[in-house]
Amino acid sequence: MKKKKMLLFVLLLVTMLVFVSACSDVEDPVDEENGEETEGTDDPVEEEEEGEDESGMIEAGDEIVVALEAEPTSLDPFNSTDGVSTSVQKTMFEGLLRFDENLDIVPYLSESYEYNDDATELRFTLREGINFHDGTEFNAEVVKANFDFVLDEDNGLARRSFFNFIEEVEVADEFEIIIHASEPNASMASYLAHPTAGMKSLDELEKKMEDPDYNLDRNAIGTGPFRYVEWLDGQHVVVEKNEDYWDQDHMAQVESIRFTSVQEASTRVNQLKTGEVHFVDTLPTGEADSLMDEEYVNVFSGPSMNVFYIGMNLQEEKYQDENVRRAMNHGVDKDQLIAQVVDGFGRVADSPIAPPVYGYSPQAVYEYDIDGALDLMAEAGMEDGFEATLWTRNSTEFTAIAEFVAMQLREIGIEVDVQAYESGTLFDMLDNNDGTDLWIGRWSPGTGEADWGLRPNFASDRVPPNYNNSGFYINEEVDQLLNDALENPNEEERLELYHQAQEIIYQDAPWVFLHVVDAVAAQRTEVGGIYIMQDGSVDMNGVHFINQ
Amino acid sequence: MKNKSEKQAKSVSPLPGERTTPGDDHRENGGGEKEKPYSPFKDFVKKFSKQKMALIAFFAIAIIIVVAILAPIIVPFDPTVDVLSQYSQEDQDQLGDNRINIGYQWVLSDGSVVEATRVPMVDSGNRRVVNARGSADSITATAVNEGETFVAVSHENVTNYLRIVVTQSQFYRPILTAVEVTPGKDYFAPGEEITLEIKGHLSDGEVLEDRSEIARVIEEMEELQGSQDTTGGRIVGQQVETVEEGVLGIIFGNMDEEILTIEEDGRIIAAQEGVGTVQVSLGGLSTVVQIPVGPTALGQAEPIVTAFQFQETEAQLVDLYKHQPPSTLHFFGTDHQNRDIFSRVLVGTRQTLTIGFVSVILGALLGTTLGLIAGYYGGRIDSLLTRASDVLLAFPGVLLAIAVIAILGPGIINIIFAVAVFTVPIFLRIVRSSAMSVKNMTYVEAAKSIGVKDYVIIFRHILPGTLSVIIVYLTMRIGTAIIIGAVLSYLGLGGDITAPEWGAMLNAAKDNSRNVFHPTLFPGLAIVMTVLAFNLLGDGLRDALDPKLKD
Repeated sequence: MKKKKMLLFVLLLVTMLVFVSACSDVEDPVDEENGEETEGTDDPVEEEEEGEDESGMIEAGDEIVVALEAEPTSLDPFNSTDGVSTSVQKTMFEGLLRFDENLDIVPYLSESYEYNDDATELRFTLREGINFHDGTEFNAEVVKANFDFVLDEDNGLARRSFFNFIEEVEVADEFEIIIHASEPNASMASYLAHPTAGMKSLDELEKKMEDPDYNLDRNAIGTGPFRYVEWLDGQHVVVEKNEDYWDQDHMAQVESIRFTSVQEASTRVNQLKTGEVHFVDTLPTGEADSLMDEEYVNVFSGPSMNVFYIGMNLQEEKYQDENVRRAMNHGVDKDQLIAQVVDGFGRVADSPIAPPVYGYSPQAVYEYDIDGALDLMAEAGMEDGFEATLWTRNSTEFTAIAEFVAMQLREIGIEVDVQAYESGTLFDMLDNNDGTDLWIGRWSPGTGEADWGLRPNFASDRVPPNYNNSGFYINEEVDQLLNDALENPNEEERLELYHQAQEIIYQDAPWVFLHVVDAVAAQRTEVGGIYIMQDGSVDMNGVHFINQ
Repeated sequence: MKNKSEKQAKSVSPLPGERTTPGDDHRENGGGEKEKPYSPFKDFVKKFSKQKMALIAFFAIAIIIVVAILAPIIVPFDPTVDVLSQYSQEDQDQLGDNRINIGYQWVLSDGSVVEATRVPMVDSGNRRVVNARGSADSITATAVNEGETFVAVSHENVTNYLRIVVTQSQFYRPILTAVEVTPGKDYFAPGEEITLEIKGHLSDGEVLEDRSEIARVIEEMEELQGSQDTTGGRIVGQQVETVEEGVLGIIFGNMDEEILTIEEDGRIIAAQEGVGTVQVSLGGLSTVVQIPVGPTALGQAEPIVTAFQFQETEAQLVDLYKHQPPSTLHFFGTDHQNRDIFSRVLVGTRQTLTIGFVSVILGALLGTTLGLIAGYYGGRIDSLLTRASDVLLAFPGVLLAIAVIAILGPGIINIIFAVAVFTVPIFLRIVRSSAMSVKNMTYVEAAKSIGVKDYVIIFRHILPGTLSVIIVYLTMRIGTAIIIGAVLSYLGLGGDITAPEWGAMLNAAKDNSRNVFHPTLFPGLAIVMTVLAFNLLGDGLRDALDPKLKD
């Protein structure tokens, strides 16, 4: 009787399903029509916008609108660690060096640079005739003041530890500067090419030193092709063309750029479709397909340096046996993860660092093997499995991975409880070791080389609260290899040392190595000149309209 | 519900403050039926059974409750685990594979086939369709989406293709998987122009020797190129200077410039004695060919890798990794983690009903007690309780619940508590007003006059008078509580985000709602139908119990 009722209930649902799917079938062509209609009317809409805005300060059509996934945390390159802030800062700040599209280091505010023989000094010849947005001159004194400022512990800047390889900055001449490292360091140039090393005006630094309440996060005075206009909380950051830019060949080609923060990914996609924004980064991979069919949208993807992993707290007894850690690596089907969670936009992580990173060396992947994993668990005396708590950020991208991993680990006997937190909260919890167990992490070495890919995550002296080694992985051999590599100016030997370090780490399995995602972004076809750097930040200094 | 109505029926006949035993109740009830007096319960049943919608809703709720209780037994799949690992062999055979491992070996220039000693570089032509990578003994291709593409397998200067079809394809022709190039003669003399024989191997095993046919296949294959960058743009192996030949678009790369020279028009000239090597690339494929110059060079050449030999050059896969559409195997399809939505919806019933019932009953108990006290005593207690409930009522329900969760932290018990908290003032207010009117009844006055204790009066004489209101509101509020519970778990406040809970399922599915409808439709329908059933039942009860309540 009851079964019959249940059947009836199911039947009712199925009928509704048929009804609804029938409806959706009918609606499909209508949708397409609508799509075409909006596409067809795109141009008039933009013209209208132009008309409206002519009364305003900026002529429409000269403004690029970019939808970012979050609001920047700061406009001070020394005081932010996230890719979103970096993307905005890059339009206004420039460093002595920079990475080009191929991740090669090229001079920026400097003419040239050279190491001394034992890689303890880096000598720069600075470019002359460059002025900051406030009119002050760029010279060696400014560079020194900048580095002294970021290194001063009292200023409490987020990127201080990034620069702690610098012992002293010496002004050799008005346009000559020497960076002294505390230890031999052949990666100095990579660090200084990172967007974090952007130079800001001496006046601003002095204002900050005179008045500690002066907010450098909101006062961005650099040398870049765009200058800061305004930052409205929760709305946008606007930068405008710097008419006095030093490099005439690379003048900004648009009047202004407006960075809006749109957290909901589907909203970003819709805005792009309607032409409300011109560029969207970090596109949900599931949306990429439907966007590819849009006539006025270009979707592009490329390799990134973002490695996803599950970190584990090695202080916990359950993870101390390397067999358990390897079992967990064998227990997660990375191919399925890539097909299912990132829609194919990724590769299996075969090293703790991603392929584009300098010094990367691929290892033999932990193949998906449940039986092998169960054997390893048994070998470690963990036949009955154990319980674990997996922390994740609460964005869709991360929770989907966490859900997937939790399901997979359950099959080798690990009962995983997934807890989602807002990213800031999660970092605090990891940095304070607030009962860390398992967590989903993502790491991208902004410097593009192996040292920043490995040291923060695996060096013994980077355990909380010092940096990112939240799993307390302690291996003196790795420490030694990393230090040797950093001090070794011979390229081949360095690569060999990094190869060894990656081999040991991959064998030791302090992480469950998951995947390297591709960066997926989309732009309107009427704009060009935007690059996604492999560290995930966006370079839009060369952005321009194609049809105008 | 039935019991409560009976109670109400009893209480209508005023009983003086004597404490009666359940036995007394029963006897009296039995006696009443014999004499066939007016029975409010029968009256209620009669009125209620006239309301068809409410009756249907009542049975629907009964079914939902049965489903909730039996869910773990009747679900076809484990709702917390990917269905792929749960398929029987039969299902698996019927569905097909979603992954294939293709073994590979090296073909050397002397024609021998040997085990590969290095892992090749593997890249998919379109990673939206297939994801591929190489390991020590095989190439693994994993289906991602419907479509067709090729997988490029490269070792140094050799690139071969594999054809992979996922589910079904618009492009149904065999593709070129390898080029084979052999010198036209055993050896060439210095100064002689070298002739090469080119063969194209197709994925179905056919070998093309006619250059124009090879060209046609290559042209057709352009259709397969995805919008992604592939190995096509990457330089693999030794970098060589290349010359493009006009006719076929063959690109020659000279790897031994001392022995061979390649003219700008693509002619290859032997320069001096020895063994020269040329890379030949065609439509993304490439191979190398050794060219002996001079009779002494015969047999001198160290064999090099010229191609791969694969177990298979074509594979048919199915994309089963997520969002399987509704089918006979999965009535409601599968979600983004490939879990069976039908099973999840059924199992989710239990949690949903638990939240609905427990929270409302908790809230009703507390709210009714406080309401009775406020209504009966009046005065300061009344104004204090009323003001407090006004404060709580001033918050929108969801906001209040979120505030409670913010204090207590996420989790199902806290959700129940949060929903209970905002149910309290509603019951307090409604019970208070009806208690105030019952309080002035003569039987209450009578009870008071003979010195019956306050709590006895409240629970024996006033509470039964308010029961009909309480029952109606209870049913209605369960619907609201289910919605609030779903909203909270939709917002990610339900604790375990992987739990089969309707709100959490909607949240997880919302990002893909543009492309696939079933992950959002079915949990949504479940919520709508459950809440609708409770509301219809509430309406019916109201009409049957007290038509005056219908304002």
